[in-house]
Amino acid sequence: MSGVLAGRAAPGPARATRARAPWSFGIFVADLLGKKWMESIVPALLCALAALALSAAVPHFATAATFASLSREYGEIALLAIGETVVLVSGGIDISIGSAFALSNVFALILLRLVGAPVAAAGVATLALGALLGALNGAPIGALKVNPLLTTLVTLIVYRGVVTLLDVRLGGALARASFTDPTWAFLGHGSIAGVPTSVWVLGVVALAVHGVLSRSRFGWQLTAVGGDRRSARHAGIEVDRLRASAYVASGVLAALAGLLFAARLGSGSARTGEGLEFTVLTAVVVGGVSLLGGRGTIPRALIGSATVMMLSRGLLLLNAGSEVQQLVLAVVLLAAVGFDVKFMKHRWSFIQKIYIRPASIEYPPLPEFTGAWAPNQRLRGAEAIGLDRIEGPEDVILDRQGRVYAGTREGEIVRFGGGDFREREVFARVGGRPLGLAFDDDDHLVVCIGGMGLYAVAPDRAVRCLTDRTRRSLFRLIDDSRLRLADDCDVDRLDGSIYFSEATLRFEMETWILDCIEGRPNGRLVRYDPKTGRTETVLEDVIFPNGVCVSHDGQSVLFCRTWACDVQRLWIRGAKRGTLEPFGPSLPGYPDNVNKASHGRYWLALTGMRTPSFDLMMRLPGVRRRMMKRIPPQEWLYPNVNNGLVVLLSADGEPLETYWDPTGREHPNITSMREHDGWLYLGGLNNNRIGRIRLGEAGERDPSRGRPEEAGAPA
Amino acid sequence: MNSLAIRRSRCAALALALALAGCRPQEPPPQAADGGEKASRGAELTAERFPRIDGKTVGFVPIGLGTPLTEEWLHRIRRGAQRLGWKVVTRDPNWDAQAQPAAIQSLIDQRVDAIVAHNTDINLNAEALRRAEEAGIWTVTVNMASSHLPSLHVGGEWGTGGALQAEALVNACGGRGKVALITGDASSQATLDLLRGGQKVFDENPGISIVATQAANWDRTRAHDIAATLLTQHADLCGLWVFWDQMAYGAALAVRDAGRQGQVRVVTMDSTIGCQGVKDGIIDVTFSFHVPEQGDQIVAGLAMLFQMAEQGVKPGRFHTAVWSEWTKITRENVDQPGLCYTGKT
Repeated sequence: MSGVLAGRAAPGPARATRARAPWSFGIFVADLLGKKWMESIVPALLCALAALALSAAVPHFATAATFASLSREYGEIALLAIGETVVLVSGGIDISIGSAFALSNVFALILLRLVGAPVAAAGVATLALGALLGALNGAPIGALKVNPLLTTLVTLIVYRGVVTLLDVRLGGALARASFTDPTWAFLGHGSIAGVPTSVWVLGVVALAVHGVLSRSRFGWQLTAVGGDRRSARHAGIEVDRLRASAYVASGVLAALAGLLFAARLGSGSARTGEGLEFTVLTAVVVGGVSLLGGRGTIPRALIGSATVMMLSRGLLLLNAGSEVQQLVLAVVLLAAVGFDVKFMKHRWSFIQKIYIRPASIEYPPLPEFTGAWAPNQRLRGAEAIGLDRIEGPEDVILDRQGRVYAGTREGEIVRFGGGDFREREVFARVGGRPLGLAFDDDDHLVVCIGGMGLYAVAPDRAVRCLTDRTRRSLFRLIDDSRLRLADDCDVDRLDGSIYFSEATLRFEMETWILDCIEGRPNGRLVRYDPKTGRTETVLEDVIFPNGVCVSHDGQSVLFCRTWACDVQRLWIRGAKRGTLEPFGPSLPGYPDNVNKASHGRYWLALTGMRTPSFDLMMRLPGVRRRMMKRIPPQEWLYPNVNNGLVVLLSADGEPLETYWDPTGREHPNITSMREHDGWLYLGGLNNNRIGRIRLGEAGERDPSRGRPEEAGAPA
Repeated sequence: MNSLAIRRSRCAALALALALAGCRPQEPPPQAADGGEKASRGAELTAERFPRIDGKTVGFVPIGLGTPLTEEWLHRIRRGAQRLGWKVVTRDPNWDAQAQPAAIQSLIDQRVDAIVAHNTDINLNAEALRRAEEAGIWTVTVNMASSHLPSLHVGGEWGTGGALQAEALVNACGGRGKVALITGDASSQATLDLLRGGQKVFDENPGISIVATQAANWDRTRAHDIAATLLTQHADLCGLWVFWDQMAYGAALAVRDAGRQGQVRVVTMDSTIGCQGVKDGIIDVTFSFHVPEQGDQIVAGLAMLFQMAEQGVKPGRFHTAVWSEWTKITRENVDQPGLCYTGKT
């Protein structure tokens, strides 16, 4: 069946519910701000802006020559920035990098010029020195818990002192000794494919460190330590060692930068790297790496370094003195820190504020509550199964032995057996919030788990994931491939595939009711094919698709649109394949699950009834928006999901009978029902029991099978 | 005076060009031979007979602007450039070592015609200057040389200067006693050669012992602090040789504050704040290397280089140097006109 069915929900006929299109600028903005790369996009824009402004304002800036010479220096600064980023992400700070850089530089030159070491040996020794310098920072910080700022301030002074000492002692000899070596020259001045060696080195290092930081256990743990040291320690992370190792990494990278600098300029000047820590810190913060730890990536370090380097080169070209450069960098740093604090801190609360974008849903008038809709007492006195021994059986199902299964709030699937359903046992622990249930032909229990996806429990209780993702939709900003709220499923007996609904992509299990406040088509209908293991989205942009039921003849799939108050039929076979049409009339309540009934009919659960007041609210998104803004959530108007009923639908979706409990004492909300051997079993998302009533005339036992689900397609 | 100088420089350029072209002076210059009419006018020496060099751009990269020394050079170069129709662009690394090669590189990227560099140390700019020459840009170094030899170096001969200053120090101490040295950047050419020159003198005077050699990196405050420390460490210090007057003034103030004026003699070089120190009586001797003239020499040298370039000579083929005169300044001669400068002389 490929993706032919994939399409948008067509608007129904005039008497049906009318709703807004899914796209909204507000949602776009909220989604945009929610993207992780938004933290990098602002620095990236700033970088681009700086490039454009400097190109326009500074003569000789936007030239290939400037770019070429800038990129060589960029390699060195960016390496330092990467080291600083690693330290900042770990929750520390390293202000000794300028001195470590200078010391590595002069150390390499001494080895080459005065000791006469080969280039490779000098390189390795310099990197080892860097590791040592880093370890001298890391050891007190990790082992003795000394403040990183103080520690690296001390080493900044000490390393600088050593540099000055070496300069006084050996500076003259170093300056006069000459050294030429092709490898050394290549390191300092060579290029591959027009790109300077230092940039290649940077590229390799950046890729490697990025990989480690974002995709390795070490990187994640390091980020966790930077995010919250105490939590990290409680999670069993070796905080001290990780913190120390960040400084070693920073030291090695400083040494690598120093090595490149030595190769490029060959100057052992004691002035080397003075104030560089300030430049590098500015670079990483401008790039969006947080000084507070736990937040930062290598691309951000690279972006920030580029911005700062362009700025300082631009100012040099404008002949602003370095005091002006320092001033400008300071202002940029201040602005970046301010932005970091203000924007990053308030981002989520701002997203929260604009996240819900109510849209209008207009219902046809409520039907007269007469005839099939006439209130009655049929659910009163329903037998209770597992009273107070089960919490929130959203869906119920029975197996061949007549045992009742239901998912619970605790993430378990509970089974009641024995003649009077007194034997309670946990059939399987699946986690998440188990919702819709279905048995496949091999008696595997297929279960939709909110927050996890579509799972199956084998008769031997082995739990396995069938699917937890579908194809990402093309034009949505957020990655919607993950299933957030798989709701209900049914097995297509003809080919074994499983149709299931994902109620909403924008809210979680705990906040599902907010999807109603928003009233947008945020859900989708998905199909999983166990034969191929493929998952495909059949319908996108559906208003809260809830119950799913493959029709008795297997030609169509019925699904409820809860906030739209109707049932839709999607044809999956035959001449009308791929078309969508309403199944039955508009409903006076919010439909939840739909299941097969005997004699080719269907059961439908209404989790709550519509009210004129809330119908009006749904028509007026502005009122809902103001409500959200001005009054606390406890006082909002919500849809009534506390007083439901069960409807028996004809094969064409016309209501035949209804089962009410107007008091709402025993079954305040009804989210599902299952017919079995002349009994109707009732489930409710917030109920403390499973109900059971004997069916009278309406549910007189179908002679064909005990379970209507298994009726399959009649010829 | 100025026109004379430039006339002189043009003659010099011509002579040099001829020498390079392998011609003997009495033969007519080949360029002159092109315009037969002009050549026939014989001895008449007009500017038209020499290549035009207006419209050139000169880049100036000092260690840092804002000192009388570098401001004076810039002032003189600007004055000459204005007269000759050149443009002067400055790039101020402001004592930031890394910024200096970047500054030179930016001038190469900008394709200036000549770069005048005042090198922080011997090696720092060597590669950048080499590349400038490769790009066809004339290189001039002033006072502080680079390990890459430029087309023209203008500056004091530090070996000689070092010997002169060391002698002055030895004399001030009466031939025996403890002295201390406060130097510039240890890897700068000036520091290295001043030390070398001074060492010869100290070797000849075994009565003088050097108790300390410390680098203050041309910084007045640092020199002050070093001097203050040295003074407490050595109660019998007789002389301080400070390698630049900016530093020397700081050191001399430390001497004054310690109440050791007259006991500890201060010898230095350069003639702005150095002159002031001599006038104030806190610096004993300073040596001028005639900074304003150096500025003029740079302009004259550039004019020659540009004219040679017009006659097909490429940078990097030869190295020339103009050495500055050393003049001792003491209480006796400090008020003579032309010895001291202000940065805008």
